[in-house]
Amino acid sequence: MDKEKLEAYHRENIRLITVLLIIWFLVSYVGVLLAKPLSKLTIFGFPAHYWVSAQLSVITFVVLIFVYAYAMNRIDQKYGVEE
Amino acid sequence: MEQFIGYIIVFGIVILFMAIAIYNRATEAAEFYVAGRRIPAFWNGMAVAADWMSAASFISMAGALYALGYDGLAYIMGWTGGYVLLALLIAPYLRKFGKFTVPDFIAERYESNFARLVALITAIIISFTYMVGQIAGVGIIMGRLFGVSFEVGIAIGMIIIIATTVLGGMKSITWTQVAQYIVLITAYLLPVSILATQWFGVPLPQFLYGQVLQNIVELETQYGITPHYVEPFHKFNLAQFLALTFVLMAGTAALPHVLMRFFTTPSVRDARVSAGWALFFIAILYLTAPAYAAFARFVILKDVVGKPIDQLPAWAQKWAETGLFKVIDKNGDGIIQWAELNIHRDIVVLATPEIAGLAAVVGFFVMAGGLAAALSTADGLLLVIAAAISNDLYAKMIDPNAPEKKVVLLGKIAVAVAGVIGGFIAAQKIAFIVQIVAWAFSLATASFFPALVLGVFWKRLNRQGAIAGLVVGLLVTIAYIYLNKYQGISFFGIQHTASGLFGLIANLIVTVIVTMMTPPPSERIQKLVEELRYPKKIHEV
Repeated sequence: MDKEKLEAYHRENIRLITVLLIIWFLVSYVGVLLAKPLSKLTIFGFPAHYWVSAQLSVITFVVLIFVYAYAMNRIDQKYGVEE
Repeated sequence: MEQFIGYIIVFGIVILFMAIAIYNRATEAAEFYVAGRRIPAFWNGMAVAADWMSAASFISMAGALYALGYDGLAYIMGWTGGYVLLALLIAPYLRKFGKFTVPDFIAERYESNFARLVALITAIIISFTYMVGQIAGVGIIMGRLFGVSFEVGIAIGMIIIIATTVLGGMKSITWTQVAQYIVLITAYLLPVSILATQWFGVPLPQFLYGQVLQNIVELETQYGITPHYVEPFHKFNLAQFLALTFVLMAGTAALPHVLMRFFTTPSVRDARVSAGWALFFIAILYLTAPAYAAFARFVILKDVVGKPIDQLPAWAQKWAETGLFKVIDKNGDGIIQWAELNIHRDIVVLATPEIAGLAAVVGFFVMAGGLAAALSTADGLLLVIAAAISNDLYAKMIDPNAPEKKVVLLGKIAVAVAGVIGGFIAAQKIAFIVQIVAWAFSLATASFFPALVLGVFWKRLNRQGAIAGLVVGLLVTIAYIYLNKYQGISFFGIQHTASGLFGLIANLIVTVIVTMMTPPPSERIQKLVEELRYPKKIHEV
C-alpha cells in the first residue's frame, strides 16, 4: 500500500475524531458552564440546565459513538484498510 | 414469610449466575482472559455494560444525586461521556494491538519490562480501589437482607464474590454478565416505573420526572429547605463539577478492566461498535438514575418529613439495624424535620421501594439487582488483578516456561487473597461508594489515560517520558487525595474525588519534558505505532 494513501486515511480519522469531540465538549462542559442562565428556562417540563446535563448529553454520547463506528467503517473501505 | 421470599429471590439469582459460570467454565489462558476473541459486538456491549455498572452506578449513584441535586450530574456525564473517549481514542487501537492486557500494551509500546511492572502495579492499585467499593455495596445488601451489621454483611459478600470469580474466567463471565445485565436493569427500572405509573399513568419515569423536580422544589419551599435540589453549584463549585466530570470521563476510557473487554471482540470494527452498544445499555440506567433520585427525594419529603417520629413505618427499624439510617428528634417536638433525618446516601436506592410503600418483593428484587451489579464488576476487577499477577508478573517476568494450568491456578489464588484484603478495607467505611470508586478513576486518569492516548497518537513518546509521567501522575493524585480528605487542603475548591486532574497535569508536563530530553523510540516501535492506525495488517512489526 502506498504511504500517501495511508497518511490520508489517518488524517481523515483525526478530522472525524476532532469534529465529534467538539460536539462532545459542547453538550457536556459548555452545557455546565451555561447552567446558571439555562436554569431560568424549561424544556419538556424540566429546568433546562438539568435536562441538558441529565439527558441531552448522555443521549448525544451514545449517538456520537455509533456515528464514529459507522463513518470509520466506511472510511476503512474507501482506503481498503478494513480487515 | 417475607424474609423467606427475600432469600429466595436474592439467592436464586446468585445461584443462577454461578450455574452459568460453571456451565461455561474456562481452563485455557486465552479462554480465561479474553474468551478466545469470539464475542459478538452486541453481546460484548451488554457484558461491558454489566461489568461497568457497579455498586457505584446501581447502589450509590442515585443516592449521590439525591444528596447533591444538580451537582450530582457530574457523575452521570462523567461515567457516560468517557465512552466517547474510549471509542474514539483508545479501544480500536488496542484491539488492533491484539494482546491480553493493558500492561501488555505498555510493555511493548515502551519497550521495557520495567514499564510492564509499573503498569501492572498501577492496574492492581486501580482495580483494587474500585473493588473495595463493590464489596461495600454487597455488605450493605447482605446487612439489610440478614438483619446484620454492615461489617458482617461484608464478610458474607466477600465469600460470594470470590466463589463466583474463581469458578470461571472471562468466557463464563461474558455470559454470566449478559444475565447479570438483564437482572440489574430490570431491577433498577421496576420501582421507578411502578411509581411513574401510579403517579402519571405511564411507566416512563425518564421523561416524566421533570414534574417531580418541580414538586420537590414546592415541598422544599414549604419546609424552608435551601438551596433547592435543582439549583446548580451549591455542593460542588464550578471547578469541582468540571474537574470531577473530566476525571470520571478520562478514567472510564483508561480503566484496565473495561479495556480488557475490547480485546475480546473479533475485529477492530467490532471493537468500535461494541463501545456503542456498551454505552447504549449503560445509558438506559444512567437516564433513569436522576429519575430514581428525584422520586426518592420526593417520597421522603412527602411521606417522611413532617410526620410524627413515633409513627415511623417498619422499614425504618430494619435499616436502623444496619447502622446506616438514623432519626434524631433534635428539637424534641416529636415531628421529623429534614435536618433530623440521617440517611446514608448508599441506602437510598435500596430503601426507596420500601419507603414508597411498594410490595416487599420489589425491594428484594432491587437488592438482587444491586448484588448483580456489584458481583459482575468485582468479577471483572478480580480478573484484572489475577491477570496482572499470573499472566504479566509470573508467566512473563518470573517463569516464562510455567505450564498454563499453573498460571491459571496462580490467578485463582490471587483472586482469593485480593478479595479478602478488599473486604477488610471496605469494612472501615472510609467514604461513600461513589467516592471510593471516583478515586480509582482519578488514578486511572493520571496514569493510564495519557500513557495510552499519547502512546497511540504520539510516535515520538518514549519509554523514559511515559514511565516518569505515569509515576509522577500517580504520586500527585494519591498525595492530593490524602491532603484534601485528611488535611482539608484544596486548590480552586477541587475535592479529593477529582484529584486525578492534578495528577494528569503533572503527568503531561513530566511526560513531554522527559521525552524531549531523551532520544526517540526505536524504528520498530515507531512502525508499531503507525501500524495501530489501520485495522488491516499493513507491515510486519
